[in-house]
Amino acid sequence: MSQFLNFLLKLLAIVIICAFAIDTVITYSYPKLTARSHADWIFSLPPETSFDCIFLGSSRSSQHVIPKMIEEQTGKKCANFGYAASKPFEIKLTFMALRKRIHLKKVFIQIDQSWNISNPDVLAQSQWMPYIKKPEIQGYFKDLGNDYIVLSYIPLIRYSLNNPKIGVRNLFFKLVGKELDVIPSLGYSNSTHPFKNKKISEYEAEIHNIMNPHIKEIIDYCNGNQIQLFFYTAPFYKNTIDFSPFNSLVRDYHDFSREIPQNKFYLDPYHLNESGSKKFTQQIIDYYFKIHEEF
Amino acid sequence: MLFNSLDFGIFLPIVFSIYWIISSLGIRSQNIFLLGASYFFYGMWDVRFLILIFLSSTIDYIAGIKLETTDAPSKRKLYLFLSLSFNLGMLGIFKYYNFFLENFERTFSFFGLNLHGPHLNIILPVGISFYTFQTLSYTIDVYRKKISSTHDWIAFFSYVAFFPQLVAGPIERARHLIPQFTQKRSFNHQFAIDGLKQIIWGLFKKIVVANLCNNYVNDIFERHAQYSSITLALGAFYFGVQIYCDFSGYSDIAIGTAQLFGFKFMSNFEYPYFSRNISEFWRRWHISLTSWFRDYLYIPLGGSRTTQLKKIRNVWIIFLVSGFWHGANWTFVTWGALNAIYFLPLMLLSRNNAYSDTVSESKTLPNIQEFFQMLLTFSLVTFSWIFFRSENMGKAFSYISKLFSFNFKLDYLGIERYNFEAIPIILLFFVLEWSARLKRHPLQDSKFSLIKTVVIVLLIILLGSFIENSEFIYFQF
Repeated sequence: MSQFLNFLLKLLAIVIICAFAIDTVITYSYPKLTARSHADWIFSLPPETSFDCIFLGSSRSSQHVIPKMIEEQTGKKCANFGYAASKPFEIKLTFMALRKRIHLKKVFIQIDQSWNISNPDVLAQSQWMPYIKKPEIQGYFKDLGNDYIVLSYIPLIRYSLNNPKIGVRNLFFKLVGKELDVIPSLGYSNSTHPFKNKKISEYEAEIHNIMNPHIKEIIDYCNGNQIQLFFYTAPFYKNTIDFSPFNSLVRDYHDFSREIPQNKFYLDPYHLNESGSKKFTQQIIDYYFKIHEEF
Repeated sequence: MLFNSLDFGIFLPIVFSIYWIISSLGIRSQNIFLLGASYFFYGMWDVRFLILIFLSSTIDYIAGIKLETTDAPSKRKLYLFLSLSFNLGMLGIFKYYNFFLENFERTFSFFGLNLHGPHLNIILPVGISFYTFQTLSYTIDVYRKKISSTHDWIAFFSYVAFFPQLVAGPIERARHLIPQFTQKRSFNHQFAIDGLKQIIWGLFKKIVVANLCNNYVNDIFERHAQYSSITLALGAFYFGVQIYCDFSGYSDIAIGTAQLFGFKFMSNFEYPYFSRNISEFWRRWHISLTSWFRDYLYIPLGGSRTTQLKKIRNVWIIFLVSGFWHGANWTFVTWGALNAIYFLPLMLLSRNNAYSDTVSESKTLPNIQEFFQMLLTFSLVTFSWIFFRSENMGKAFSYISKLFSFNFKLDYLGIERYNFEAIPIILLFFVLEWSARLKRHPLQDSKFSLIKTVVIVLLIILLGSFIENSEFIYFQF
């Protein structure tokens, strides 16, 4: 038995040492290689970067707001940091990572029924895993309890568990220089593939009339740092959800959910197509940048 | 409790430690402990399953003793009949009842008679097909007087429920496994280390290769109408790789786990995708089931020592029953029939025993002829997997008709991956398997065995797919 245990311990020791070494190399190289995710993009932004306004949210932000169009019409430099499946927790991570890198003036947050969700989204949070020990966001992962300990201190586990997004495949594309495709368009994603599992029946939602804790943290930070914060709901095809609770939950909220009723502007019930995005961006420009006196 | 779960990662070391700590108390204590651990393992799925396995074990244990203590042929036949009726009856009710009922209803409705029988709302107990066949081998062998019945009920119950092979085999023969429960087992470190390495290799197959392919297969089969011929060909290829890595990976883990406890299981897969014809493939694929059908069905029917017509009949029976064993669906029956069609020409031309050795035994690479023989065999098998994977015959034919639409566009899949992205890992896997085709598994003792094992563990960590639904395919059978 001692020979068996000896083999087992030897195997474990070598594996653990190798795992620590590989984990260290991957984590060290992550922000230095080509940006493959929004987290990479943010952590690789040069210090002198500045935007007049940024947009946060899910794919209903990235797919809907065209920063270059706003800049062309208003002269304001914008970027869209929304990404697929991002919920309030991930929006907070994005905001808190950004605030340390760029001087924030105006922030637009797309909110909808994901307001009701306080937990992290497994897929959306995965891109933050290589940066889990960065002081800007470390505290928020620590709040998750034991998960943080496991993800931080067991080598390679955060890469293994999030393999579809930050695993070897992603590392390969980072090494060969395949950049996140939305960076040249400053975050606007012109996807032509309908998103999976998006059906109108999913509209059966009721907005909880209570403040989301992650959004509250963003509001508190903005209030203390002279950052203007705007909330909006992007269009849905045939929306039936009542978003009026947002009027009392947050300041400067505007509901665009019924502003584009025509089917021809939609990729799927949740997402606009390219001409829909242009139409919606124009509505944003008209509402905020031309009419709203603060702009 | 899945072999690739954290639960099993905790369960196995605890059971392993206690099992060897109590070895000084004697073999009976070890068997009682193994039985308890196996029932706990099985009960983790559903406690109700334990009732069935307990009943099946009890009936076969008693039938075995009764068969041995009487010489009257009629009584012996009766005991055998009772054992077969119970075991096959349970299998029939749980696995096939609703299928037969639906088909009867459909047939009658075709003739204008709308009959509706009582459908059973029951779940299929995990592993029932495997342990039923295992216990049947015992009763039949005792009836045929090939083995004596056992009077050690703990050993017999442990044999039926032994957790490494309980839910998906290998289907061990009583004459091979029961004696191992009645002999003293002492710890052999080389045997255990080899078992551990085989577990690691099995995990690599399952977590890295099978789970990776699973992502592609699910998307391509689910949305096959949207994809081109080349993507559908890849989908079938990925499923061929998936089912092999999934099932043989399970077998490797089962065999390796048994070795940790001092048991030797039969080999279940011997590099079947390096076969030069279908006959060789079936000698290397799911060996424990194929040999079960050979011993308990094909040979009693006359096997190949009968007239040509009966030989053909026997081949059809064996493949159709084999297909039906996998599940109550015409897709499995068609899969079996297709393999019978592949096999028959070889048998009629007396080529079915042409390759009893391993391909390119003394060479590094196969010659051109061997390469194309393997490619053809693999292609035929892969084509038949389309029926095995499809939910129903309609979807299988729809997949095949789209496959032969000769549209060679490269698709971007619904899983945000290009259709060829899994190829490098599959190629790496085939290279490792090819280089080890004369061994039981690629990590078996060699000069750099420890380094190889470390590399495979790291590859599991780095390349493994851990968050996808990763139940083993053969659990459903």
